[in-house]
Amino acid sequence: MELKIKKDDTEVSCAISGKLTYQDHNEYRDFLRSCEDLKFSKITIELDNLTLIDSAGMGMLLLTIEKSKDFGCDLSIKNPKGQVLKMIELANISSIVTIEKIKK
Amino acid sequence: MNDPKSHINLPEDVDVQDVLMRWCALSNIQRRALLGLAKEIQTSSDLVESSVSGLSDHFLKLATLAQNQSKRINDFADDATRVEFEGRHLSLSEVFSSIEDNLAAIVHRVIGLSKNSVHLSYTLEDIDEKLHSLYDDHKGDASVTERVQDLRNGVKLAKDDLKDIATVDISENFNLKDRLESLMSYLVLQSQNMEQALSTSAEDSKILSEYIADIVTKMQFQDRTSQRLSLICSSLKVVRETLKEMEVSSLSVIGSKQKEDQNTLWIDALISDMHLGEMRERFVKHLLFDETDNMYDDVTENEKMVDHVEPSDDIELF
Repeated sequence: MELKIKKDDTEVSCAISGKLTYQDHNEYRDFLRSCEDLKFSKITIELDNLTLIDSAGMGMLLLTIEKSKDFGCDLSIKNPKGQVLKMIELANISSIVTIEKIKK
Repeated sequence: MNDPKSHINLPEDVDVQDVLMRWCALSNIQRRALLGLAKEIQTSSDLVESSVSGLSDHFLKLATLAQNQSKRINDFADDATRVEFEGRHLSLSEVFSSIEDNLAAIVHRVIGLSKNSVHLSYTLEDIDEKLHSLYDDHKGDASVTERVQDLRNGVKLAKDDLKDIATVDISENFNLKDRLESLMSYLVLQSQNMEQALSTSAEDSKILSEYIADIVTKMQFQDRTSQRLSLICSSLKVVRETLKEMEVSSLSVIGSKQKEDQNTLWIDALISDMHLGEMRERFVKHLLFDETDNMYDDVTENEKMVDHVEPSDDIELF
Protein backbone atom coordinates (compact mmCIF):
# COMPACT_ATOMS: atom_id res chain seq x y z
CA MET A 1 0.00 0.00 0.00
CA GLU A 2 1.02 3.56 -0.62
CA LEU A 3 -0.61 6.65 0.84
CA LYS A 4 -0.39 10.05 -0.83
CA ILE A 5 -1.71 12.74 1.45
CA LYS A 6 -2.56 16.28 0.43
CA LYS A 7 -3.78 18.67 3.04
CA ASP A 8 -4.49 22.32 3.69
CA ASP A 9 -5.85 24.04 6.77
CA THR A 10 -9.32 22.57 6.50
CA GLU A 11 -9.24 19.61 4.17
CA VAL A 12 -7.21 16.50 3.69
CA SER A 13 -7.25 14.00 0.86
CA CYS A 14 -5.63 10.60 1.02
CA ALA A 15 -4.99 8.65 -2.19
CA ILE A 16 -4.55 4.97 -1.41
CA SER A 17 -2.89 2.79 -4.04
CA GLY A 18 -1.90 -0.87 -4.24
CA LYS A 19 -3.42 -3.30 -1.72
CA LEU A 20 -4.97 -2.32 1.60
CA THR A 21 -4.63 -5.24 4.04
CA TYR A 22 -4.04 -5.90 7.71
CA GLN A 23 -0.29 -5.43 7.40
CA ASP A 24 -0.90 -1.79 6.45
CA HIS A 25 -2.84 -1.00 9.58
CA ASN A 26 0.02 0.79 11.36
CA GLU A 27 0.75 3.12 8.46
CA TYR A 28 -2.94 3.81 8.07
CA ARG A 29 -3.11 4.62 11.75
CA ASP A 30 -0.63 7.44 11.26
CA PHE A 31 -2.98 8.98 8.71
CA LEU A 32 -5.91 8.63 11.12
CA ARG A 33 -3.90 10.23 13.91
CA SER A 34 -3.02 13.20 11.71
CA CYS A 35 -6.70 13.66 10.92
CA GLU A 36 -7.49 13.56 14.61
CA ASP A 37 -4.73 15.99 15.54
CA LEU A 38 -5.30 18.55 12.77
CA LYS A 39 -9.10 18.57 13.04
CA PHE A 40 -9.93 18.88 9.34
CA SER A 41 -13.44 19.79 8.31
CA LYS A 42 -13.38 17.45 5.31
CA ILE A 43 -11.62 14.18 4.60
CA THR A 44 -11.50 12.64 1.11
CA ILE A 45 -10.33 9.09 0.53
CA GLU A 46 -9.38 8.53 -3.10
CA LEU A 47 -9.40 4.93 -4.24
CA ASP A 48 -8.71 5.27 -7.98
CA ASN A 49 -5.54 3.21 -7.74
CA LEU A 50 -6.47 0.84 -4.96
CA THR A 51 -6.52 -2.60 -6.56
CA LEU A 52 -7.40 -4.85 -3.63
CA ILE A 53 -8.86 -4.56 -0.18
CA ASP A 54 -9.45 -7.32 2.40
CA SER A 55 -11.81 -7.38 5.35
CA ALA A 56 -9.19 -5.72 7.60
CA GLY A 57 -8.80 -2.96 4.98
CA MET A 58 -12.57 -2.55 4.95
CA GLY A 59 -12.42 -2.43 8.76
CA MET A 60 -9.91 0.43 8.43
CA LEU A 61 -12.21 2.32 6.06
CA LEU A 62 -15.10 1.74 8.48
CA LEU A 63 -12.93 2.99 11.34
CA THR A 64 -12.18 6.11 9.29
CA ILE A 65 -15.90 6.70 8.76
CA GLU A 66 -16.50 6.26 12.49
CA LYS A 67 -13.62 8.56 13.47
CA SER A 68 -14.72 11.26 11.01
CA LYS A 69 -18.06 11.35 12.77
CA ASP A 70 -16.25 11.63 16.09
CA PHE A 71 -14.11 14.46 14.67
CA GLY A 72 -17.22 16.17 13.31
CA CYS A 73 -15.96 16.35 9.75
CA ASP A 74 -17.35 15.35 6.36
CA LEU A 75 -16.00 12.24 4.71
CA SER A 76 -16.30 11.09 1.13
CA ILE A 77 -14.87 8.05 -0.61
CA LYS A 78 -14.03 8.58 -4.27
CA ASN A 79 -13.95 6.35 -7.28
CA PRO A 80 -13.56 2.80 -5.99
CA LYS A 81 -13.07 0.27 -8.79
CA GLY A 82 -13.09 -3.46 -9.44
CA GLN A 83 -12.78 -5.67 -6.39
CA VAL A 84 -12.73 -2.63 -4.09
CA LEU A 85 -16.03 -1.35 -5.49
CA LYS A 86 -17.56 -4.82 -5.22
CA MET A 87 -16.46 -5.06 -1.59
CA ILE A 88 -17.90 -1.64 -0.78
CA GLU A 89 -21.19 -2.55 -2.47
CA LEU A 90 -21.30 -5.94 -0.78
CA ALA A 91 -20.90 -4.32 2.64
CA ASN A 92 -23.47 -1.65 1.74
CA ILE A 93 -21.04 1.09 2.84
CA SER A 94 -22.95 3.58 0.68
CA SER A 95 -25.72 3.53 3.28
CA ILE A 96 -23.46 5.25 5.81
CA VAL A 97 -21.13 7.40 3.69
CA THR A 98 -21.09 9.13 0.32
CA ILE A 99 -19.40 7.09 -2.40
CA GLU A 100 -18.46 9.29 -5.36
CA LYS A 101 -17.95 7.49 -8.64
CA ILE A 102 -16.31 9.41 -11.44
CA LYS A 103 -18.23 8.95 -14.67
CA LYS A 104 -16.10 8.00 -17.65
CA MET B 1 -131.68 -27.13 -57.24
CA ASN B 2 -130.37 -25.61 -60.50
CA ASP B 3 -129.02 -27.96 -63.10
CA PRO B 4 -125.25 -27.32 -63.37
CA LYS B 5 -125.42 -28.17 -67.03
CA SER B 6 -127.61 -25.11 -67.63
CA HIS B 7 -124.63 -22.82 -66.72
CA ILE B 8 -121.78 -24.70 -68.35
CA ASN B 9 -121.77 -26.20 -71.80
CA LEU B 10 -120.86 -29.79 -70.98
CA PRO B 11 -121.31 -32.85 -73.15
CA GLU B 12 -124.51 -34.74 -72.39
CA ASP B 13 -122.64 -37.85 -71.22
CA VAL B 14 -120.72 -36.01 -68.46
CA ASP B 15 -121.93 -36.87 -64.96
CA VAL B 16 -121.61 -33.52 -63.13
CA GLN B 17 -122.37 -35.12 -59.81
CA ASP B 18 -119.51 -37.56 -60.31
CA VAL B 19 -117.15 -34.68 -61.20
CA LEU B 20 -118.14 -32.79 -58.09
CA MET B 21 -117.68 -35.89 -55.98
CA ARG B 22 -114.20 -36.29 -57.39
CA TRP B 23 -113.39 -32.63 -56.66
CA CYS B 24 -114.64 -32.95 -53.09
CA ALA B 25 -112.66 -36.14 -52.62
CA LEU B 26 -109.56 -34.39 -53.89
CA SER B 27 -110.25 -31.43 -51.62
CA ASN B 28 -110.63 -33.77 -48.66
CA ILE B 29 -107.34 -35.45 -49.38
CA GLN B 30 -105.59 -32.12 -50.00
CA ARG B 31 -106.95 -30.80 -46.73
CA ARG B 32 -105.63 -33.80 -44.86
CA ALA B 33 -102.37 -33.51 -46.74
CA LEU B 34 -102.06 -29.85 -45.77
CA LEU B 35 -102.77 -30.73 -42.13
CA GLY B 36 -100.15 -33.47 -42.31
CA LEU B 37 -97.64 -31.05 -43.79
CA ALA B 38 -98.46 -28.40 -41.18
CA LYS B 39 -97.89 -30.93 -38.40
CA GLU B 40 -94.70 -32.06 -40.10
CA ILE B 41 -93.52 -28.42 -40.17
CA GLN B 42 -94.42 -28.09 -36.48
CA THR B 43 -92.54 -31.32 -35.73
CA SER B 44 -89.50 -30.08 -37.63
CA SER B 45 -89.69 -26.72 -35.86
CA ASP B 46 -89.89 -28.45 -32.46
CA LEU B 47 -87.02 -30.74 -33.41
CA VAL B 48 -84.81 -27.82 -34.47
CA GLU B 49 -85.78 -25.85 -31.37
CA SER B 50 -85.01 -28.81 -29.14
CA SER B 51 -81.66 -29.37 -30.86
CA VAL B 52 -80.78 -25.68 -30.66
CA SER B 53 -81.75 -25.62 -27.00
CA GLY B 54 -79.53 -28.66 -26.35
CA LEU B 55 -76.65 -27.11 -28.28
CA SER B 56 -77.12 -23.81 -26.42
CA ASP B 57 -76.88 -25.66 -23.10
CA HIS B 58 -73.67 -27.37 -24.22
CA PHE B 59 -72.19 -24.11 -25.51
CA LEU B 60 -73.12 -22.33 -22.27
CA LYS B 61 -71.31 -25.06 -20.33
CA LEU B 62 -68.31 -24.64 -22.66
CA ALA B 63 -68.38 -20.87 -22.09
CA THR B 64 -68.47 -21.42 -18.31
CA LEU B 65 -65.59 -23.91 -18.53
CA ALA B 66 -63.57 -21.44 -20.63
CA GLN B 67 -64.25 -18.67 -18.09
CA ASN B 68 -63.21 -20.94 -15.20
CA GLN B 69 -60.09 -21.98 -17.08
CA SER B 70 -59.21 -18.35 -17.74
CA LYS B 71 -59.58 -17.53 -14.04
CA ARG B 72 -57.54 -20.61 -12.98
CA ILE B 73 -54.76 -19.70 -15.41
CA ASN B 74 -54.70 -16.14 -14.09
CA ASP B 75 -54.54 -17.42 -10.50
CA PHE B 76 -51.81 -19.88 -11.44
CA ALA B 77 -49.83 -17.16 -13.23
CA ASP B 78 -50.08 -15.03 -10.10
CA ASP B 79 -49.05 -17.91 -7.80
CA ALA B 80 -46.23 -19.05 -10.10
CA THR B 81 -44.43 -15.74 -9.87
CA ARG B 82 -44.89 -15.27 -6.13
CA VAL B 83 -43.81 -17.04 -2.96
CA GLU B 84 -45.88 -17.14 0.21
CA PHE B 85 -43.60 -16.63 3.18
CA GLU B 86 -44.70 -15.87 6.72
CA GLY B 87 -48.15 -14.86 5.50
CA ARG B 88 -46.81 -12.48 2.86
CA HIS B 89 -46.87 -12.87 -0.91
CA LEU B 90 -43.43 -11.97 -2.22
CA SER B 91 -42.28 -11.67 -5.81
CA LEU B 92 -39.11 -13.53 -6.81
CA SER B 93 -37.20 -10.26 -7.07
CA GLU B 94 -38.34 -9.38 -3.53
CA VAL B 95 -37.12 -12.77 -2.29
CA PHE B 96 -33.72 -12.29 -3.90
CA SER B 97 -33.54 -8.72 -2.72
CA SER B 98 -34.18 -9.94 0.81
CA ILE B 99 -31.43 -12.59 0.49
CA GLU B 100 -29.02 -9.95 -0.83
CA ASP B 101 -29.92 -7.64 2.04
CA ASN B 102 -29.20 -10.43 4.53
CA LEU B 103 -25.92 -11.22 2.79
CA ALA B 104 -24.94 -7.54 2.93
CA ALA B 105 -25.88 -7.44 6.63
CA ILE B 106 -23.63 -10.46 7.32
CA VAL B 107 -20.73 -8.91 5.39
CA HIS B 108 -21.33 -5.63 7.19
CA ARG B 109 -21.07 -7.41 10.53
CA VAL B 110 -17.89 -9.21 9.49
CA ILE B 111 -16.37 -5.90 8.45
CA GLY B 112 -17.61 -4.38 11.72
CA LEU B 113 -15.70 -7.13 13.54
CA SER B 114 -12.63 -6.34 11.43
CA LYS B 115 -12.97 -2.67 12.31
CA ASN B 116 -13.19 -3.51 16.03
CA SER B 117 -10.21 -5.84 15.68
CA VAL B 118 -8.14 -3.12 14.01
CA HIS B 119 -9.24 -0.68 16.69
CA LEU B 120 -8.31 -3.14 19.44
CA SER B 121 -4.98 -3.76 17.73
CA TYR B 122 -4.27 -0.03 17.88
CA THR B 123 -5.15 -0.05 21.59
CA LEU B 124 -2.94 -3.07 22.21
CA GLU B 125 -0.10 -1.38 20.36
CA ASP B 126 -0.49 1.65 22.62
CA ILE B 127 -0.38 -0.68 25.61
CA ASP B 128 2.66 -2.46 24.17
CA GLU B 129 4.45 0.84 23.70
CA LYS B 130 3.79 1.75 27.31
CA LEU B 131 4.95 -1.67 28.43
CA HIS B 132 8.03 -1.25 26.31
CA SER B 133 8.77 2.09 28.05
CA LEU B 134 8.17 0.46 31.42
CA TYR B 135 10.57 -2.33 30.45
CA ASP B 136 13.25 0.22 29.51
CA ASP B 137 12.68 2.17 32.73
CA HIS B 138 13.19 -0.95 34.87
CA LYS B 139 15.95 -2.71 33.01
CA GLY B 140 17.89 -3.23 36.23
CA ASP B 141 14.98 -4.87 38.05
CA ALA B 142 14.68 -8.40 36.77
CA SER B 143 11.45 -9.14 38.62
CA VAL B 144 9.72 -6.17 36.91
CA THR B 145 11.17 -6.69 33.46
CA GLU B 146 10.19 -10.36 33.58
CA ARG B 147 6.59 -9.47 34.43
CA VAL B 148 6.50 -6.73 31.80
CA GLN B 149 7.85 -9.14 29.22
CA ASP B 150 5.14 -11.65 30.11
CA LEU B 151 2.55 -8.95 29.61
CA ARG B 152 4.06 -7.94 26.25
CA ASN B 153 3.98 -11.60 25.17
CA GLY B 154 0.29 -11.72 26.11
CA VAL B 155 -0.38 -8.56 24.13
CA LYS B 156 1.40 -10.03 21.13
CA LEU B 157 -0.73 -13.21 21.31
CA ALA B 158 -3.87 -11.08 21.56
CA LYS B 159 -2.76 -9.05 18.53
CA ASP B 160 -2.20 -12.24 16.56
CA ASP B 161 -5.69 -13.44 17.44
CA LEU B 162 -7.12 -10.07 16.47
CA LYS B 163 -5.32 -10.28 13.17
CA ASP B 164 -7.06 -13.59 12.46
CA ILE B 165 -10.41 -12.00 13.24
CA ALA B 166 -9.68 -8.88 11.21
CA THR B 167 -8.63 -10.81 8.12
CA VAL B 168 -11.57 -13.19 7.74
CA ASP B 169 -11.79 -14.10 4.06
CA ILE B 170 -15.06 -12.80 2.62
CA SER B 171 -14.17 -13.37 -1.03
CA GLU B 172 -16.54 -16.35 -1.06
CA ASN B 173 -19.35 -13.90 -0.39
CA PHE B 174 -18.47 -12.19 -3.65
CA ASN B 175 -19.02 -15.42 -5.53
CA LEU B 176 -22.22 -16.05 -3.62
CA LYS B 177 -23.53 -12.60 -4.51
CA ASP B 178 -22.58 -13.05 -8.18
CA ARG B 179 -24.24 -16.48 -8.27
CA LEU B 180 -27.35 -15.09 -6.61
CA GLU B 181 -27.55 -12.28 -9.14
CA SER B 182 -27.14 -14.69 -12.07
CA LEU B 183 -29.71 -17.07 -10.59
CA MET B 184 -32.10 -14.20 -9.95
CA SER B 185 -31.76 -12.90 -13.50
CA TYR B 186 -32.43 -16.36 -14.89
CA LEU B 187 -35.40 -17.06 -12.62
CA VAL B 188 -36.94 -13.64 -13.14
CA LEU B 189 -36.62 -14.05 -16.93
CA GLN B 190 -38.07 -17.56 -16.77
CA SER B 191 -40.86 -16.31 -14.55
CA GLN B 192 -41.62 -13.45 -16.93
CA ASN B 193 -41.74 -15.85 -19.89
CA MET B 194 -44.05 -18.19 -18.02
CA GLU B 195 -46.23 -15.31 -16.90
CA GLN B 196 -46.43 -14.10 -20.50
CA ALA B 197 -47.36 -17.58 -21.77
CA LEU B 198 -49.99 -18.02 -19.07
CA SER B 199 -51.34 -14.55 -19.66
CA THR B 200 -51.72 -15.36 -23.37
CA SER B 201 -53.50 -18.63 -22.52
CA ALA B 202 -55.83 -16.82 -20.15
CA GLU B 203 -56.57 -14.23 -22.81
CA ASP B 204 -57.25 -16.99 -25.38
CA SER B 205 -59.65 -18.68 -22.96
CA LYS B 206 -61.40 -15.37 -22.41
CA ILE B 207 -61.76 -14.83 -26.16
CA LEU B 208 -63.00 -18.43 -26.54
CA SER B 209 -65.59 -17.79 -23.85
CA GLU B 210 -66.73 -14.62 -25.61
CA TYR B 211 -66.99 -16.39 -28.97
CA ILE B 212 -69.06 -19.17 -27.42
CA ALA B 213 -71.35 -16.65 -25.72
CA ASP B 214 -71.77 -14.96 -29.11
CA ILE B 215 -72.67 -18.31 -30.72
CA VAL B 216 -75.29 -18.91 -28.03
CA THR B 217 -76.77 -15.45 -28.63
CA LYS B 218 -76.93 -16.06 -32.38
CA MET B 219 -78.51 -19.48 -31.87
CA GLN B 220 -81.25 -17.86 -29.85
CA PHE B 221 -82.38 -16.17 -33.08
CA GLN B 222 -83.80 -19.61 -33.90
CA ASP B 223 -86.98 -18.10 -32.39
CA ARG B 224 -87.46 -16.10 -35.60
CA THR B 225 -87.38 -19.31 -37.66
CA SER B 226 -89.97 -20.86 -35.34
CA GLN B 227 -92.18 -17.79 -35.74
CA ARG B 228 -91.98 -18.01 -39.55
CA LEU B 229 -92.82 -21.70 -39.55
CA SER B 230 -95.75 -20.96 -37.26
CA LEU B 231 -96.99 -18.36 -39.76
CA ILE B 232 -96.74 -20.94 -42.57
CA CYS B 233 -98.86 -23.34 -40.49
CA SER B 234 -101.44 -20.60 -39.94
CA SER B 235 -101.57 -19.93 -43.69
CA LEU B 236 -102.04 -23.63 -44.37
CA LYS B 237 -104.89 -23.63 -41.88
CA VAL B 238 -106.65 -20.85 -43.81
CA VAL B 239 -106.29 -22.88 -47.02
CA ARG B 240 -107.67 -25.96 -45.26
CA GLU B 241 -110.65 -24.05 -43.93
CA THR B 242 -111.41 -22.70 -47.41
CA LEU B 243 -111.30 -26.21 -48.81
CA LYS B 244 -113.52 -27.42 -46.01
CA GLU B 245 -116.10 -24.74 -46.77
CA MET B 246 -116.05 -25.70 -50.44
CA GLU B 247 -116.53 -29.38 -49.57
CA VAL B 248 -119.43 -28.67 -47.21
CA SER B 249 -121.21 -26.49 -49.74
CA SER B 250 -120.58 -28.97 -52.57
CA LEU B 251 -121.58 -32.05 -50.59
CA SER B 252 -124.79 -30.36 -49.53
CA VAL B 253 -125.63 -30.16 -53.26
CA ILE B 254 -124.53 -33.60 -54.37
CA GLY B 255 -125.33 -35.33 -51.07
CA SER B 256 -122.96 -38.19 -51.57
CA LYS B 257 -119.88 -39.71 -50.03
CA GLN B 258 -116.46 -39.81 -51.64
CA LYS B 259 -115.05 -42.82 -53.37
CA GLU B 260 -112.44 -44.56 -51.19
CA ASP B 261 -110.68 -46.16 -54.18
CA GLN B 262 -110.15 -42.69 -55.69
CA ASN B 263 -108.61 -41.52 -52.34
CA THR B 264 -106.15 -44.36 -52.46
CA LEU B 265 -104.98 -43.31 -55.92
CA TRP B 266 -104.43 -39.74 -54.81
CA ILE B 267 -102.61 -40.84 -51.66
CA ASP B 268 -100.30 -42.92 -53.79
CA ALA B 269 -99.66 -39.92 -56.04
CA LEU B 270 -99.00 -37.58 -53.10
CA ILE B 271 -96.54 -39.80 -51.26
CA SER B 272 -94.73 -41.14 -54.31
CA ASP B 273 -92.04 -38.47 -54.05
CA MET B 274 -91.57 -38.68 -50.25
CA HIS B 275 -88.27 -40.40 -49.51
CA LEU B 276 -88.05 -40.09 -45.73
CA GLY B 277 -89.84 -43.23 -44.57
CA GLU B 278 -90.71 -42.00 -41.12
CA MET B 279 -92.28 -38.83 -42.49
CA ARG B 280 -94.08 -40.74 -45.23
CA GLU B 281 -95.57 -43.08 -42.66
CA ARG B 282 -96.90 -40.18 -40.60
CA PHE B 283 -98.19 -38.47 -43.71
CA VAL B 284 -100.16 -41.54 -44.84
CA LYS B 285 -101.63 -41.94 -41.37
CA HIS B 286 -102.78 -38.32 -41.43
CA LEU B 287 -104.39 -38.85 -44.81
CA LEU B 288 -106.16 -42.03 -43.78
CA PHE B 289 -107.03 -41.50 -40.15
CA ASP B 290 -106.74 -37.86 -39.07
CA GLU B 291 -110.27 -36.45 -38.83
CA THR B 292 -109.28 -33.23 -37.04
CA ASP B 293 -109.41 -29.88 -38.79
CA ASN B 294 -107.12 -28.05 -36.41
CA MET B 295 -103.59 -29.17 -35.67
CA TYR B 296 -104.04 -27.83 -32.13
CA ASP B 297 -107.34 -29.74 -31.47
CA ASP B 298 -107.39 -32.40 -28.81
CA VAL B 299 -105.70 -35.51 -30.07
CA THR B 300 -108.22 -38.02 -31.41
CA GLU B 301 -107.91 -41.79 -31.05
CA ASN B 302 -107.01 -42.02 -34.73
CA GLU B 303 -104.42 -39.30 -34.48
CA LYS B 304 -102.72 -41.14 -31.62
CA MET B 305 -101.56 -43.51 -34.31
CA VAL B 306 -99.47 -40.65 -35.72
CA ASP B 307 -96.49 -40.15 -33.41
CA HIS B 308 -94.84 -36.74 -33.79
CA VAL B 309 -93.55 -36.58 -30.23
CA GLU B 310 -90.18 -38.24 -30.62
CA PRO B 311 -89.05 -38.30 -34.21
CA SER B 312 -86.41 -40.87 -34.91
CA ASP B 313 -82.78 -39.78 -34.67
CA ASP B 314 -81.92 -42.21 -37.44
CA ILE B 315 -80.57 -40.55 -40.51
CA GLU B 316 -82.00 -41.74 -43.82
CA LEU B 317 -80.32 -41.09 -47.09
CA PHE B 318 -82.51 -39.53 -49.78
